[in-house]
Amino acid sequence: MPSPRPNQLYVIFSLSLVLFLLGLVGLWTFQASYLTRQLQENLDIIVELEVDHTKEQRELLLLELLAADYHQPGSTPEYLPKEQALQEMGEDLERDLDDLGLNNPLLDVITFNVPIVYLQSDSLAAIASELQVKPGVAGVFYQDNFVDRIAANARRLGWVLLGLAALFALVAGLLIHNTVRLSLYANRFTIKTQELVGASWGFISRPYLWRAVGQGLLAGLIALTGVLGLQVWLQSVLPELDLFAEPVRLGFLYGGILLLGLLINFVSHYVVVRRYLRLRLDDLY
Amino acid sequence: MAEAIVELRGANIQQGGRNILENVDLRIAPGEFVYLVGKTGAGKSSLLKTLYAALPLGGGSATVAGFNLAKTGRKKIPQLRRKLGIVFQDFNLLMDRSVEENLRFALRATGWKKGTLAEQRIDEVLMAVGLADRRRSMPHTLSGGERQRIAFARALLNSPTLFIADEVTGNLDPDTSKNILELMRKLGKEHGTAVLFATHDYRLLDTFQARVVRCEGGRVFNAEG
Repeated sequence: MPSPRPNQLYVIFSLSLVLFLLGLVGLWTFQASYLTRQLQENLDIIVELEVDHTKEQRELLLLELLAADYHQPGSTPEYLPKEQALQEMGEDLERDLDDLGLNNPLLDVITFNVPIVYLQSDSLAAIASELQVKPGVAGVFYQDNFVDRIAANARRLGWVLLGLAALFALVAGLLIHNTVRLSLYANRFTIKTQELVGASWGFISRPYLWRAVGQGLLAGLIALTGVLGLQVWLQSVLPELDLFAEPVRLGFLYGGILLLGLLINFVSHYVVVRRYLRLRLDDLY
Repeated sequence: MAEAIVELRGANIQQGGRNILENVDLRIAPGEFVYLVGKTGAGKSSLLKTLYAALPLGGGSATVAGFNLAKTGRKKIPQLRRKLGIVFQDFNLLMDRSVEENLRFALRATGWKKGTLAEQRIDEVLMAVGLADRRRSMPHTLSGGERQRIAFARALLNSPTLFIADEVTGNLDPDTSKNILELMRKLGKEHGTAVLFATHDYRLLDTFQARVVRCEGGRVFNAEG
């Protein structure tokens, strides 16, 4: 049976560190995808209304938008009269535009958001064509390049983060495996002695594998505490990041960290113990 | 003729895929004491390792304690070893545990449950090797001869049919070596256990008369001691 040694602390420490870093990569991946989605969902489609549109036309359009498939559920189309738009523009420019004595060049607008599935150039073009022929509509505008850029960057970022996470998992596996190998090196004679007195491989391996499960869970919990602590701190400093917005996905991330810690440590212990069991007595020296 | 504990016919003993000993014929009867002699590197250890299945049989046939070595797979090896008492020059005791913990550990590793029977067995084997009073001692507090006796006690736990002793006196002074040899013969007689005692120290052969098997020039020769 293995006895507690400082080596075990190294295993737990290394594993916790690696899981913490993996947790950060996971968190970053989730957060990046969440923020990208937020950004995409908040992209305004602007419908400019004709100067002489009627109140009925405007209200009918608002109702039609609310009922449309391409309208983002949970949001409401907003009507912005040209007077208010001018006032907001003046506030942005820090000038009173009324003083210039010019006619208001702006038009009344309705803005609305669409779900992510419609954020493709062709879908947006189809929506624009549909709206443009409606009575009272002067034009439909949106930042076409911006949409494409967001989508492309989101895809690219996703691949980069996925690659980074895979690389990290590989390095983590190797690092942990090496630490476990060093940790069990001290037990190689105990393993061989058990074999020579007639213990089965299962009996010899069992305590090491149980220890691996315990260490894996402990390391996972330490890493989770670290990730959660960092999340709480970041949320207090930068609340706009909205780090706890998706509890289900976070649950999967936390569960994944625990499971990965357990799995990496268990597999490493299994492989190393089997390796020592297969070694001949002479090769142990 | 009683069924042999060890029966080798035309066996090849290999190490790293190379024949160390060829065409070995060897028969050991139950309770028999056999010296296995030869210079260092003559193949004694390889022969012993083949007998306890730490090396694969290179050819021919070999039966040990009822196990056909050519057909004994990895999962059956622990069962074979429970019928053998293997003792080495370097004792192979777990130095971080007391004598009784070493013995208890070996019992548990071979399927014994914790309890009175196991504790009784520990008392019996310690008594058999004359170290009943060292039950709670740590191995580092024992002399070389005492440690070797503890290794014998451990080998005795499962009432083996064959003791395999590989240069067990290599680290001991001449008097202690003779005592250990006498102890092995005594244990063999008392428990009906055959003993295969490998040594390169020919002086030990004068301790008492027994059959001598000699490894030399890649062959094994049988001779009467």
